[in-house]
Amino acid sequence: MNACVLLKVVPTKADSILETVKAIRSVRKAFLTYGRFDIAVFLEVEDYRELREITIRINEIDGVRSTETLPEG
Amino acid sequence: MVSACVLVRTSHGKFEEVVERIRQVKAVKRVFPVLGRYDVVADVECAGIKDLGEAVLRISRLAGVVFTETLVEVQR
Repeated sequence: MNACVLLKVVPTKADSILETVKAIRSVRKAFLTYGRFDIAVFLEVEDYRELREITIRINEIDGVRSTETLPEG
Repeated sequence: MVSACVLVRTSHGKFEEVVERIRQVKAVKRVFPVLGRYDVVADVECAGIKDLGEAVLRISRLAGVVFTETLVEVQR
């Protein structure tokens, strides 16, 4: 199952957050972005339970202000 | 190489055809229907920012696409 997670982060921490996110196993692609969000993440997960686990982990990263998750439907 | 996350809203109930149409666009590496504030999300990758603009323009012109928001990768 694919998912896209969009992050708003503290600007000074964007690079370190990106590195942390990239290290997560199910992350297929992550990059800093211009526009309404600061980081875009593409994930491949087994199910909603794994997606939930990962969105929690991402939200716990220091400097992450908010996330918007778009699960495949 | 520059990537972009393209967020798409489709006219009501049209997301399946729109996903297939977007899949035909060469620069699209990944596309899937989503739940949430958007209907479809596409991962677009191009050699340069100009090609990216053209790919996004093509997506926005596809039948059934009502609105797009593009998050372009920060270039370093």
